[in-house]
Amino acid sequence: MNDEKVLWEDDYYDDDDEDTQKDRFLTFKIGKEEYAVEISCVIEVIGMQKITHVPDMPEFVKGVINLRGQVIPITDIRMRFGLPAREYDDRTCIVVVTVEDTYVGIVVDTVSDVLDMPEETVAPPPKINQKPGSRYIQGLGKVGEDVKIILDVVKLLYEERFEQLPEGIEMEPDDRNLI
Amino acid sequence: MGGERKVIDEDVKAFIEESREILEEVEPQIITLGQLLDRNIPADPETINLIFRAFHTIKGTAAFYQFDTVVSITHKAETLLELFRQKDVELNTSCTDLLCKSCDVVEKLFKNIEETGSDDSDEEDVRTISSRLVGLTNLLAGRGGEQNQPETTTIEDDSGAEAETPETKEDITQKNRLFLTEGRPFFEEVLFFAKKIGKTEEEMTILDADNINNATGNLKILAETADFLEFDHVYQIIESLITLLQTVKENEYQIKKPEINVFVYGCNVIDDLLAIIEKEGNDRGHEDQISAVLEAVKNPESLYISDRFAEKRKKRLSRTSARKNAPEDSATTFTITEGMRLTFLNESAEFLDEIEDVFLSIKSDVTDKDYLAEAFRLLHSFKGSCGFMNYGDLERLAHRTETLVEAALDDVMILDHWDLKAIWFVLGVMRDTLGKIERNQGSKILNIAVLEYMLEYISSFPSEQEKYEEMLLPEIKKDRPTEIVLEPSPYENAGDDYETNPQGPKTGNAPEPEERREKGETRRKPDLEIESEDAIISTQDILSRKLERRDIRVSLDKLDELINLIGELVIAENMVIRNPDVVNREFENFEKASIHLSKIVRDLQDVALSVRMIPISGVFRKMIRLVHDLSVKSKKKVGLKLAGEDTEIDKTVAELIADPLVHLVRNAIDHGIHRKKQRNGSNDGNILLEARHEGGEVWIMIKDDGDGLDIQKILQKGIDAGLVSEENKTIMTDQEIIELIFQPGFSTSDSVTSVSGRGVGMDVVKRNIEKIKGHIDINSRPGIGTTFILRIPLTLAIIDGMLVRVGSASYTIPLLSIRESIQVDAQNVVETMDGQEMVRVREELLPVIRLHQLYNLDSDYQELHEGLLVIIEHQRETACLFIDEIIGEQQTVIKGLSGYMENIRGVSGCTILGDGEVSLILDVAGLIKRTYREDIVFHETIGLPAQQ
Repeated sequence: MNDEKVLWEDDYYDDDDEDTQKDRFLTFKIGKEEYAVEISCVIEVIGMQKITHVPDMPEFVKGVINLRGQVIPITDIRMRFGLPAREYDDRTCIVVVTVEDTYVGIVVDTVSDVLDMPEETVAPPPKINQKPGSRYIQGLGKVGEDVKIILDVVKLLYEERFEQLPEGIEMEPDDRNLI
Repeated sequence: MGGERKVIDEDVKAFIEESREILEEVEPQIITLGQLLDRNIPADPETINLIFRAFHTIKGTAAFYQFDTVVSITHKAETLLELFRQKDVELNTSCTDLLCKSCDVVEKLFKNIEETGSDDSDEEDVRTISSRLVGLTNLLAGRGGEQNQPETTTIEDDSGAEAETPETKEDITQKNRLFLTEGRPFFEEVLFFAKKIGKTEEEMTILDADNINNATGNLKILAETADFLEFDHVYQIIESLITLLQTVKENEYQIKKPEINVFVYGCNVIDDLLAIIEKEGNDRGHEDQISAVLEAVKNPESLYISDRFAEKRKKRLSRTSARKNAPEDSATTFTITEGMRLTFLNESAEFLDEIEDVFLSIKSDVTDKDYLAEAFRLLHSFKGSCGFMNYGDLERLAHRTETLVEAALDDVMILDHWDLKAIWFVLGVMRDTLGKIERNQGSKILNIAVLEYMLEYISSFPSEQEKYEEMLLPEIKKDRPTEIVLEPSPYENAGDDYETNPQGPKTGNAPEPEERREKGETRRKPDLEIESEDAIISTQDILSRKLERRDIRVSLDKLDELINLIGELVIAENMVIRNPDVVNREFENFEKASIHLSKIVRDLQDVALSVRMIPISGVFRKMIRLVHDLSVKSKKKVGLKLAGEDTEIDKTVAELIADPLVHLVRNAIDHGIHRKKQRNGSNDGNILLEARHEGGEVWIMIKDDGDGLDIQKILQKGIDAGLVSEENKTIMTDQEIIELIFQPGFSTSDSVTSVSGRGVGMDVVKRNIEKIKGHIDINSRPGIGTTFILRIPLTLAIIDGMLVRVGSASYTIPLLSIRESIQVDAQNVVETMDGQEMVRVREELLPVIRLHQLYNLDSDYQELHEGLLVIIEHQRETACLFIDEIIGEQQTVIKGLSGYMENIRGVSGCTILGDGEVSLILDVAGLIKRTYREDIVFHETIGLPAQQ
């Protein structure tokens, strides 16, 4: 009897694992806004560490850190979104995310929660282009009264590449679409 | 099944590796052969034998893995070589060229196999080489025949379809012999397969795809040869059998009983025909059976199976034993290199281990055919390599044992424990012989005749125990000239009562060997020895005869992992020793312990890195071929000398320097060496390739005795190409001018030849060498020659670094690039009008790179004389780095920066410091280049006025 139950539970959790990945988001705060990223691309959340500055990087790339022998770049999402810089404090965290085996740390003011946001509660991003950061928005998730801004991690990570191109080299519009 | 597949894949990998080694060994031999022929020195038969064996070995293994294309090419090359072996025809250079090309094609096929897993290739050159090989063979065979005997006969052709071919009788017999000896092994395997499937009683069986492919491959080879030798009947039947197998393949490997019968029948008919060929030299006869087979393939049900199958089996067995081995020309000694010998020894020891394992398993289940088949395969391979190495005695023993196992497989006999004991014994003898070979005591086996007799005797008796014993006893007693004493080896349980005499086998003793096996539990078999008057072996000898393994195959991935881990260890070591908690405090014991730790880590690192090292000889050997080809193409006679081939370099380095070497050698031949008007038998030019260790670097030198670089011509070309401005041309040093040849697109050639002239080569050289952090030095003297020295650091992953501080940031500078560190006086600093600061160091004026400006940092010092200057050097160009402080020297494990932080000015990678922080490693070459090349972007970014 007992064995059977354990077996059943295992199965249950296996199924659950896949479900956990889907529609689940890690939310964090930057300024007053709450942002969210898909949990499947989050590797871990670590505290602030000493960042080694790397020259020739756009302002929002703060440098690199050593994560257990692996050197990963750190971006500050505030600068990415054109928000004013803020001193790092105890609550400042680095969210390590991955896309296609590239690890990147994102500095956030504070990590809040892991939430379920089913597809039907997520609205498409607003059409109006107000802030420089709005193109990284994947959608807007509603949880109760709150609205979380869901970020497109791929864009967040990969658009950086092109911003470090020296000025004067114009990107073909086609190329931009490819990203 | 999945696991099995993988094992096969690994086997294939090993096969390719080994075959590559063989090819690499043999290619220079072919070339030497060709060169000797050039000088009208007749070919050395031993060399031909060696080449022949090489192809043969590759063919054998390739056939096992069903690489049909490889088999067909090596087979054809072999056939060609066979002609020379028979000495009917003289070797000429066109043959050696063709053989070289065959090597290339086979190598190409290996690549295919590695990439796609199969050697199917539609490539033109595969087909060309095949047809050229066959063509040449035919041509030479024809010519050779004529030379020998003008008498011609005609082959009678039953079908009458083929045209009459004039050939000499001798030729035919020779070819037939060739066909019989060469085709036998292939056919044997097919027969084996036929027997196996012939035993099924079921109406419908699903066969193993591998087996079918194997059989098809073997049949194809036979068909090809049969076709070539115009044994039409054999050819027809084989073709029809191939069709049959093809249909089976299409039916998803389902085979019906009637089809099996047809196949088995067909094989038997071929067997008969081969016997006829052996006797009469043609394949006439058995017409009714042939047509029966041909008919039956179309309609399997129509075949009437007689009981000749059983009869056949017996017949074949007797023939197998009668055939024996063709007379051994064991006296031939050819150049077996030490490396080959060692590889052979290691491999063979492996084979024996496996065979023993298999026999152990057989012991528990005598009837298990899988084990027997495995044993058969292993013995066959072992026999093959013994044959290749020309250890006749070993080969013969292995062959006998093989026959015995085959008989057991065919159900002709059942192995009982006595048989197994005999096999154990023989295996022991083989192992001893290997030990002897290892100790250079020759490969002769004492009492080989007795052993052979014993094995043959066993295999010729369909054995029920009693009958067997009854017959064995008197015979052995009578005929055996020596006694066989089975003794436990000294390192086995000494108390074990294990002295058995074959003369007195009692049924009561039957379970003894098993018992012993279980008791011993070790994999080692009892060491057996032969005692006789002429061979009494001392105990000491027995102790030393155990063969030692000297190498194992390890995957590169594992090695890399190990090296990575050691990298982490180096970092961890730094973390401990430079831990802020202990730094600047005096702990005497800690200090001692940490010094000890550092030493061990360093040793470990050396060892781990040395594991990745391979001798450079492999790369050099390729150059032999290249020089040969090029000198033929350019009609210049070029001599090549190699030195320091044993120098070991990192495997990655070895791969990366192959291309540069090719370009440099090419250039030397194309540009450096010119045809002499008067040759007087000497070479037009010579090239010396030398490798040696020099400090922390490996130096690879390519030296030619040609005309040297034409400085004026290079300068002129440089001006023409816009690489040098008119003003600069007077102030450029010779060295600077020479460096121009590394510019992409630079070529002094007025015309593009097939060999060189596009101006790509030297660019490739430079890029590849820089990739492995190496330097190139060029020394050139007109009329005397040019020397290129490639200086390559020994290791790539870990370097010695100097840690420096600028403000709050720390950077690592590779120690190899640092010339010295100095403090300057204020009056030695000069500033040019464009804002570039220069420092006078002794008689030199060096440009200064302010790191804090370059990287926009806040530094402690603003004035050059306050801080420190580190003089860095890259390919004779020097600059000073302005820093605040030197922190220290340490082992640096190089790590790449994250994928999307590429191309940072002056940074080549990063490393993790003792405190876990990341430090950037400065790219000295890049920094210097930027200073000297007056990069406008560079000046803009660091805030200096841009130059005009």
